[in-house]
Amino acid sequence: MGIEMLNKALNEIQKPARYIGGEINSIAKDFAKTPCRVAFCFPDVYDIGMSHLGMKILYHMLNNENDCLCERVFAPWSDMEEKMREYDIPLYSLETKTPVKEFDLIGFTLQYEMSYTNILNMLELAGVPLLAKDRTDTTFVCFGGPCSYNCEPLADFADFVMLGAGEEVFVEVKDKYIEWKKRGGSRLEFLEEIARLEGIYVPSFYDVIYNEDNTVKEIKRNNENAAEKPRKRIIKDMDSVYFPDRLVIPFSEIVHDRIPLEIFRGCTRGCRFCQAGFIYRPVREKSVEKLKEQAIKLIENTGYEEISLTSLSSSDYSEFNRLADELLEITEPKMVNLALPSLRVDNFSVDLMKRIQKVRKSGLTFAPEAGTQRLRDIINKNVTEEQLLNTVNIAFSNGWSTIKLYYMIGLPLETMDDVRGIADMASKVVDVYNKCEHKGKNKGLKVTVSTSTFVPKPFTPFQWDAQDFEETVIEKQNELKQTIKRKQITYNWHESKVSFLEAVFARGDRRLCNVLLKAHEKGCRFDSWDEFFDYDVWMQVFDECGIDPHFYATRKREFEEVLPWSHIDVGISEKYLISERNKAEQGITTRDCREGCTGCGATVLGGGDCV
Amino acid sequence: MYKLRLSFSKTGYAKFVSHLDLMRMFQRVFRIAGIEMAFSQGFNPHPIMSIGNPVPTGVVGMEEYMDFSLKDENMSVTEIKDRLNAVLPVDFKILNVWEPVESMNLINKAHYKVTIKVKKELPNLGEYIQALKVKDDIVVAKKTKRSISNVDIKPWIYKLDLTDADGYNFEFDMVLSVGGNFNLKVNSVFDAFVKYVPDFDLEEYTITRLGLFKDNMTKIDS
Repeated sequence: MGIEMLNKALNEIQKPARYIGGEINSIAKDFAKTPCRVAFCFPDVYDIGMSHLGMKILYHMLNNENDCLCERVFAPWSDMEEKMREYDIPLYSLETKTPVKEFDLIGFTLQYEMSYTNILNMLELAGVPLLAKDRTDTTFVCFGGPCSYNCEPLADFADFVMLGAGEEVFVEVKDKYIEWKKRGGSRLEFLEEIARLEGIYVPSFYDVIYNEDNTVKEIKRNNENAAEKPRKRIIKDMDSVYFPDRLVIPFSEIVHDRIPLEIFRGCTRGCRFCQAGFIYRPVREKSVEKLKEQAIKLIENTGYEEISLTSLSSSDYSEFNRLADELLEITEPKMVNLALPSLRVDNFSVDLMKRIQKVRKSGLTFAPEAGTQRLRDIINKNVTEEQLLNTVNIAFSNGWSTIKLYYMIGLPLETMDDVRGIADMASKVVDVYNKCEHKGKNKGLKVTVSTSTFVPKPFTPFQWDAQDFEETVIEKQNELKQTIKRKQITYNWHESKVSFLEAVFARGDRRLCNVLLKAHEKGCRFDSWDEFFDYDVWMQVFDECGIDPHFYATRKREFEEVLPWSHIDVGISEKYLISERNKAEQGITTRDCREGCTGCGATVLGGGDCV
Repeated sequence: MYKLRLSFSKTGYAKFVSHLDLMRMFQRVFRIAGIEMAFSQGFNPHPIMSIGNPVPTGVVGMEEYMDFSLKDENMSVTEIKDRLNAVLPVDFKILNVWEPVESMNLINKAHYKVTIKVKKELPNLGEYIQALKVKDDIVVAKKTKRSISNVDIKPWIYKLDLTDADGYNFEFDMVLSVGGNFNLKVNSVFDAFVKYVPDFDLEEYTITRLGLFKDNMTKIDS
């Protein structure tokens, strides 16, 4: 029994290549001789986790350090998990097949709330105590990634948390760890030492006191080494920060099997629903020269057929047309496809469209997010219907005939008119197609309208808002179904039960740690997968824990309430968020901060293009 | 266009890489190695490469073949081999690169070393194997996409020797039919054991395909 049973297990499951490592550009160092060993864990299956950019960066960066190694770990799919439990195979790393509990630092990336149960399941499979207070050896469990800005629902499981960009702080933590291990200090000593680093949050150094109505009364620091308000870390200069010149090339197919070229961090738009738009501030771009250099090396070292520009809003890159032109000069002769996701309706270039078309013509996706100008002003999505219709007209004239439109349902201050506005907008897209004279002849028009359920997130102007009740969401979805009459339009909607749970954990507090533990005990895992998500079990767990999930998801908070994440500093001032929420109420938009500072507070972070 | 053939090995955990994944990997390896493959004509051009008798997922391959075409002839076979080996993951190795003479279709035999472990002790497995070898037919169920049919695999087993045994662990030397006539998998031989050997209960196995051969047990292009 144990890791030697791996061959047998792999003979008996689907897609064994997910579990073997040894891919092109993967790095297996000498485990015994390396002072600091990091297990980078992605709490979802290989196919998903291998598509994640942050892991690619930190993996190669840490392996570049002489005294450090980094190996990858993913959540085993259910068939593999079953075999691992049957044959007592501990959770192991792909590179050297070392049991995860033998690593020094076990890091989980928190990309979405619905992966939290997978973290507990992976810790259990690894044989690592789930609760931080039960760990006694030299192994530490840490979290990072976008959800870590409010990781209170995971507070009991974390030894420490990395807030913000990991490129610098991870190396500092690694150095401290090596010193500490050599010295042979206590676990507390190590945590106290790293708590002094900017970007490190040690949940156990803070006590949360609740009011009788279950809201937070106070968050009190209990260790003077910890910051009053731990602040996220940013990378100030994107041209000099580490970026890998090679990537691990998976054997099996993964979700995004291509080169992700990160062109900038942050976003200047200030859409009020968008957490990423606030937590990744300020905007910091890489130069065209740097990007070309990185693109050339990555193409050479990966053999990939596609390169994709990644950012929150690619066409906002200040020299976007020059970048696209010069990258196409590199990619076209090599028959490499250039993918440009995250384009906006308002600054889409016709020329650029024609150039991408040369390589491949896929469908176009736009995200107006809301169906009426009124609601788009409320959420500060500064896109007009006219801009969308102009853009699709250009697209149709150039031969496109597949358009996807993304919207949200349940936005604050939304009315049924706004919902019907979605159908209206889609219908106008069809009209534009019918009137368009130069459209392609062969294919008919296909417009896909997709709606997701709005989840209010921390550190946004809507962090105080209530999520719509499920019944309301269903009512709105039904109204939209009935309003969409034209046969060219297909409507897809998301089940709002998952969004409800997401809303609970997004704005949850430490009392939810117990809920996660119970849900884990009852077998919840892969909750973002339809085939595993079991709403009834979750409701049973809330019931058993005496916790009302609606308290977190569908309750409107007052500005005065102490929010569970109020002791975390992402650089955006609460005053700014309140003023943005008030402007939303009045339907007043806020300009793009490239046009002039809007005073969000991110200048305190001391980097980026706004200072 | 430069038509070439290579032989390679696929060992260790890489045996779990499927045929399609392996083909995709080779395309990328060629690109990284800076060796320009020739592309097919047509609407959706793809690099010209083919593996005549793909080794099944989970089976180690010690000497497998792949045919491929390059855009031009400006690189020596030694250089091609060295460049590919410099890029390939550790569990893959290019053994040789050469200009093909014979058709890959001539391959019809595969040589295997198979080790198994059984749950219940089988002191007389050797005798049962002997009995199997003199039987008129060995009928096992063969699953296709649509149905299950009974097939006599006896004519397609060219060699089935028990080379090592200790009651629980056994090692076999097998030569089985491969390719167009009949593709006999080692797992079908296990099915025959299950059917004809009392108490045969497979715990674990490893299969190594040692090589591929023409009818007279010589290697292709030799």
